[in-house]
Amino acid sequence: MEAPYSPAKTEVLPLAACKVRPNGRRVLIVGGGGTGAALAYDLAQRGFAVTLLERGELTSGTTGRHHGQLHCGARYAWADRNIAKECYEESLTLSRIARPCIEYNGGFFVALGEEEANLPRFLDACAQAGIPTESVSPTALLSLEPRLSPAIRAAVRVPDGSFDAFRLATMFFAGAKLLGAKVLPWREVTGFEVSGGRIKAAIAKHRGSGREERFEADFVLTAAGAWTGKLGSLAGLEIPVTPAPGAMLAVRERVVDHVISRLRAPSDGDILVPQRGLSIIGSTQRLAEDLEGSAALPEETAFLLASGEELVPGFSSLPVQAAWTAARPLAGRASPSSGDAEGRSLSRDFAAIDHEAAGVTGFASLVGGKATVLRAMGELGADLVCSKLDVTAPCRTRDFALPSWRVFYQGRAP
Amino acid sequence: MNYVFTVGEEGSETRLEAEFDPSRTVLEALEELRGSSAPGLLYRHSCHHGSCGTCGALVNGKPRLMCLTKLGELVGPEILLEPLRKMEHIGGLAVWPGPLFQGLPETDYLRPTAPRGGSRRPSGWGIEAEAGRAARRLEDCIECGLCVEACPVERNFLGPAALLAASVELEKHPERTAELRAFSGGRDGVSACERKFECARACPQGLSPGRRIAELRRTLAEEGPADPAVGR
Repeated sequence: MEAPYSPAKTEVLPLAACKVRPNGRRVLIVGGGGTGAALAYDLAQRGFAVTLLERGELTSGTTGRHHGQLHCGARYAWADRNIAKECYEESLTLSRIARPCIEYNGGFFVALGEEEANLPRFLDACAQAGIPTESVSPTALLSLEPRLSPAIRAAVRVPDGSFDAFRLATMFFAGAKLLGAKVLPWREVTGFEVSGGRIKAAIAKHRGSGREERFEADFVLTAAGAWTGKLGSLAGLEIPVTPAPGAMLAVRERVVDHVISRLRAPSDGDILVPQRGLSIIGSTQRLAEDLEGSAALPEETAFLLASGEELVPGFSSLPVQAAWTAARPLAGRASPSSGDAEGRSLSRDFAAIDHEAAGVTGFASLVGGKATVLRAMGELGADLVCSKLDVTAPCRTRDFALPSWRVFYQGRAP
Repeated sequence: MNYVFTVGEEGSETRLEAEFDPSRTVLEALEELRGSSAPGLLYRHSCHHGSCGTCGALVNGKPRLMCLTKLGELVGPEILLEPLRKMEHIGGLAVWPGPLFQGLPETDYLRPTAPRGGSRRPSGWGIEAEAGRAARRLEDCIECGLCVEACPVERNFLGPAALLAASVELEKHPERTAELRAFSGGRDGVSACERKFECARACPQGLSPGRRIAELRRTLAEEGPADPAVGR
């Protein structure tokens, strides 16, 4: 097969080689997940004076809590070619700029029973999205991954991987910090100052000391994932985001080295992701109003164990490390009354919503997306800020290796 | 079952009471309490499955990850929660782990996985699992700092997490031997360890930094003192 990408051709530079020309414009980011992290890093690299506020610990929302699959996009190639292509490109980029937190071992889509019939359509969809695939015989698959079910009838190798969700985002925070961004956890935004239709500042409370702080800015971006709607309402805006919690379960054994996905249209319990000494099976999807709370429901746990058992015989008797949920921030609206009780009709694509049309200038929200495309979401948001503030500065986040996550936590608390 | 949580920080105490199934974890209980009666409760958390290492706290006086501690494992319905004392306090149970990360040496965080058999054919995709090359995985240490918290050594000491990292790195990257020996062999290095092995008891990953420190100390002793001109 023709190699679509050669790592040797695209060397990345150390961040120390990155020269930044400050432009004097102040940008405030609200939300300290993966998107906010990538946005802060990108904007700092383009010369903006960046401040990021997060109400709790960084990555404490959805970012740290998904199963950590580095998506090559094959999962979405069936239905969502744009996000599939974007995932493939971004998985290659992350493998270069954030390699230290990625287990980049590839993945297999496997067919059980009737799923074998999906094979031609899957290969075709991947080819159309530009994602490389290789069909592998069940015998060859089992020699590489002997714990997988002997009932598997067909397998396709894809360039998937897994990453440490917390450390990937924290590498972007570390990069932002080294480039001068102020990344401030434990600050809860309590209101926005809008005057003459333009946003001027945000008021935030330090949740440890209780002290109120005012942050002036030339532009404000929210990157609050499933919490975007709540934040928008502080500025009198209605922002369409559908929080869709999903449950995951980790067993205390690394049963495979490759990411294993079912060869069928995305549904529940169809991805098995190895990470460190764990194997994570996910996920489920439902819609929810209440974003707090993190426990998986007993029926979700039972379902996930049974799903794991289908892929790896004996899975359901392995010791369970944890079961938990994360709230996906799907862009747009879905509801049980619209006939989509799980929100699967919503795209995993992302968008920057400029709130100027709704009457607030200098204010935008990044919505939707997936962890794998965090860098691209940051680029989209930073492009919008550049065009709105008349700043010419190209995106360079593909060119430099991110510093270690450890760098972020060195020194005193900000 | 009815549980009473006392969140104790310097100079103040918050008592929270609620019904929970004993199969719930301390972190899940805090998430529910924050969503209802205690919106101002502060604690670090991220992955909820023992990978990120952020949710360490003293649970009834013992350093533990709250996401892996089930209420039913604890004795009685009274649970005392306190922030890690060796980190910088923010508020409530929340800390800034600067003291931990300040001391960690820069190391390679990936290592080969145990071989499963089968032959890997080259893909040309830039992934790890190429011909003749093992798959790679993240290291075991999740950098939660519980070993540092549990360590009884009071004098200046690099601590179990940093020395474990140095010892693992030394095995993987012999080319860094001189630098890592200088790092580990100083007055605040392996010789400061008091061999109480509290670190191993606290480690949620089942690692034994104390044993690695003892091995490192033997190696350093056999090979003579480190060259003070290298590293540090």
